[in-house]
Amino acid sequence: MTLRARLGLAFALFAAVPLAAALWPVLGALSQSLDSEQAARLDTAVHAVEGELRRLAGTAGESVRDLARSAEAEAVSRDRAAGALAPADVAGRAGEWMRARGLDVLALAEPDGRVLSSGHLPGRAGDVDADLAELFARSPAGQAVPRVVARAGPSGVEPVLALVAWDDVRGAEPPLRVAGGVALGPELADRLASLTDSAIGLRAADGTPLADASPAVDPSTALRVWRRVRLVLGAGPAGTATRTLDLPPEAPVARILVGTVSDGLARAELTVLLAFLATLAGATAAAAAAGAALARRVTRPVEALRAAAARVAAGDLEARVDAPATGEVAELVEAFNGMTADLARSRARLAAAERVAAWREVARRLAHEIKNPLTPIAMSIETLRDPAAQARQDFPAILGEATQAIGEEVRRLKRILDEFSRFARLPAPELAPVPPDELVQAVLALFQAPGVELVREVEPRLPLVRADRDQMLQVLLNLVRNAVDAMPSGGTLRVGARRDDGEVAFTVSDTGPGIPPGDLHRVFEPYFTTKEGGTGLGLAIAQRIVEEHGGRIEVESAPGRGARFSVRLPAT
Amino acid sequence: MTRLRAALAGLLLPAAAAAGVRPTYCGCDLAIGLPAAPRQWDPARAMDPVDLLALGVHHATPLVVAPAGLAPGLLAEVPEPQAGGRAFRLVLKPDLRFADGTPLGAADLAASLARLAQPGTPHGWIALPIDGADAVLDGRPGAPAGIQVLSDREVLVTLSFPLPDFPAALATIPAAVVSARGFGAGPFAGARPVRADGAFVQARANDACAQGRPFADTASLGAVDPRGAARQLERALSEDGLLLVLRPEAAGPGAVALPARTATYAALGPRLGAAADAVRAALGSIDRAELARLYVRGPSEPLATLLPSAVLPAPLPAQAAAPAPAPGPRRAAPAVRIALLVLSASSEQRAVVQRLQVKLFDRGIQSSIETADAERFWPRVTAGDYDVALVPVPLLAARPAIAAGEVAWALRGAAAARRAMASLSALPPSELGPALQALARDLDAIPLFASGLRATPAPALQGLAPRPDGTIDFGDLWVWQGASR
Repeated sequence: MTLRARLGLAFALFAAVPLAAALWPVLGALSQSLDSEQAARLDTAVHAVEGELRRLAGTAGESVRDLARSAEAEAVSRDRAAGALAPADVAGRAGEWMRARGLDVLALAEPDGRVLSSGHLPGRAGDVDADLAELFARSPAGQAVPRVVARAGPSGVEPVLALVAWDDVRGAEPPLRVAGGVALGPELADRLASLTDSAIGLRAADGTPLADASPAVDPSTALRVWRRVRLVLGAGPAGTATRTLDLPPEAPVARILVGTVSDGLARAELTVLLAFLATLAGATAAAAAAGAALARRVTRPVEALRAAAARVAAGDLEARVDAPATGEVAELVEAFNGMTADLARSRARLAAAERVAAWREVARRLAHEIKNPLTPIAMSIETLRDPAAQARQDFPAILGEATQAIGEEVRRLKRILDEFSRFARLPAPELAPVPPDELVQAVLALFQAPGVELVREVEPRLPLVRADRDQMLQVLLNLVRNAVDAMPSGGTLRVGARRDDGEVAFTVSDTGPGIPPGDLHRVFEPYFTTKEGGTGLGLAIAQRIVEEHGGRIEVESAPGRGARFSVRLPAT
Repeated sequence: MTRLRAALAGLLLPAAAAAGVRPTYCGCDLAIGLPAAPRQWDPARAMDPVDLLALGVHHATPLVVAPAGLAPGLLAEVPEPQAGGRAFRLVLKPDLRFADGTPLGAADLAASLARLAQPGTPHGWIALPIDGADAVLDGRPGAPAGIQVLSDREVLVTLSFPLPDFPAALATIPAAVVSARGFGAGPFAGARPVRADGAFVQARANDACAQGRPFADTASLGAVDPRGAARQLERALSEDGLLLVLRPEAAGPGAVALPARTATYAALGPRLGAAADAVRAALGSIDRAELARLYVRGPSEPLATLLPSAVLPAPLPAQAAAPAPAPGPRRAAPAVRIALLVLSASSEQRAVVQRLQVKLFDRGIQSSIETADAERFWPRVTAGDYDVALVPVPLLAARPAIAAGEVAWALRGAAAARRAMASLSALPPSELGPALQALARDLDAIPLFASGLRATPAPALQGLAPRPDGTIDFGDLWVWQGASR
């Protein structure tokens, strides 16, 4: 992370942290206020639910009591006692009475719980219903109590929570009881939700959901998201409060969850939070922008210094820092600019000295090379002078030898001058795809040496190399000629090509005496030679050609074990 | 006074029936109260027991079931088996006519039998044994080759396998002889609505009835509920009205229980898959005696085997009852969920299926109830499109082999019916019980109970003598001469 970014971040945090720290107390106070309001609403809703349950229990108890004293129940009891009523005729009565009286649960049973007729579970007739027997045993007559009863529904036999009361059919002998009530199911949950404007959940004792209902409101997407966020944070849904009613309190068989929901309160909380978050975002953005501007002013000369140093490292000694700065940074800029100016001047002086030294070396070499042929030429001329003056008879023979010697030395001078000229004016290579094996084959075809064994070592399916064919032939011929020169008594010459890590390596090795370690690092220097009559330019020219092809030339050698030259060119 | 009349009627009724004398014409309307208004007037297509009973008003069958066995109806005599029980020569009484006055001949008898072999008929079990009926039932046009008209009064029926009991099928109402225009040869004819809602229809006396013109001018049939039936009987008692109530429960004094001939089976469908064993075990453990006693209003009989005792020649040895599971609601979630298919029109079937639902629930099987009207119920049963179906089969034939074929036809189709008839044909009574048990397993159906109706006549109405197969000859009814009319 750059200094400027760090400074910007620091400014943003400096602004955001205090604001964020202030958010929680504000929201806490707001939530507390909202919770108080919610608690009051919840109390009202719970009282309403309890009142409705009492009303339903009263209705159920009254309905059952009325039915137990009705003429139709007494008639059933009387006919049954008289044997005038078949069991199948009784079985349908409870259903008829249940529907007629608006009850959800109704059974006609004996005191031991044996069902004679059931409206809510008609197929139970004939069985002893353990739940019914328990109701008769534990609950007083006429008092509705919460029970979970099995009821036949569209999906089969399902448990349903109900307020159930029972009573004896008046005058029945043998005794007969009526048990009935109202279901606390989805319909009741809907009614309670509508009545109290609250969310109502009916649960069995083990938590199994029996029914759920919510007031008909459609909160906005923002409110739904905010409630979900609060739930995730463990803070409970915004604008909601929940209370559980155990039915009955002493031994619950079911529970009613009453939850109040207030969109208004939740919206107020969300509005405050959003306003705070907007302020926080604005302040943080402004602080970050100010920090970035200040940091830019401070770090601009440092950034310029870094960029200039990178240019100097890349060889550009003309790089200068031109950024406004003050104090120590200004002094640093001035020192940097002075240093680079000194470096530039030193490099210019060094280059001039190198050029002079090079010219001197060239002059020395040229003088040396030219002086060598001049001596035989001078001696040949001197040799001619006396025989000519003496008009010796063998003068023509002497003249012939002298002119031959002079001619050889003149040709040698020309060759020397050609070498220098070629070194100075080597043309740019004309690159084209060339098969390596063809280059090797061409070199070997041009060369023949008695007493030297030729070994060709070319890998199959080598990639092409981009090269100037003539110049590369010149390089390889030069290497081969040097190798043969190194084996005057014969030996083995190996010329090969192979693939090596994305390159093609041409190798020329001999079995000659090898290159002394002291000369090994100088073999590519111009004018360095150990051969009699050599100019010392052959390997220098070879190195220059290879480098202009984007390759490199290397040599390995050990005394008495020959030398091995490698030319590496990029493969296409 | 009315009680005295009723007592006298009780004494006269068996005497009249024994005398076999047709009552004289008196001119009046015979009202017949049923659990539901008749809806199907074609005997070849009726499946509802009430419809099948009511069709006796209009139609006459080739044979009838008398206390001593089969007796001639439209036929001159009960046919004897020929060719080892593979052929029967049916000879009609002379000078028979349909209710519209057209002659009733052998061609009509052959056509009535042949149409029972048409694809989609609910009573194909009657024609199934006839040679060539297989192909017709599978869709080949024409009549079965085994029905040959020999003369104006003679028809030769050739069967594809030996079935000496085949004449019992000719005593069932679907085998009634029907004219090309739909007329029968029963005591009454026509069906004219007499109420705006169509709940009651009225038929006029058939002057051409083979047994003679009935005593009443008209017969009115319609639905009455139990309270309505009781009220109408009270009124009939005071007004000497001619009323016959046919309902499951007794509508008043003098009620006569008709034989329990509608057998109900819990058939297991192919959709059950791996749950079949659990469901079969749960249904098999149901206390059928309790089921029949508590949930069936009319005369009933728990089915220990595939057929009720009314169809069997002798009582079968009692079977050991399976132990009943402990009753009471379950709290654990049932592991298996199935659907119970039941006919929507029958309150009795609905009550029974609710009992099955509870008993399955007690055994850990949750079941929902699917109701379907007859138009949808029977195709679904035929196609096996159900988990468990409560199938009521009106057993019309008085012989075990034919009745078993009828059950197999209703539950599993033609192939099963043919196997059932062939396996029970000419079986000695001692081997009947195991054969019926094996057949129930083959059909994968649990026999539950058989139920019937009760006939409650008004005191003035005489001649009520239900046949052993539960049918009533409405032409036999007559008026006590002491009545005011």
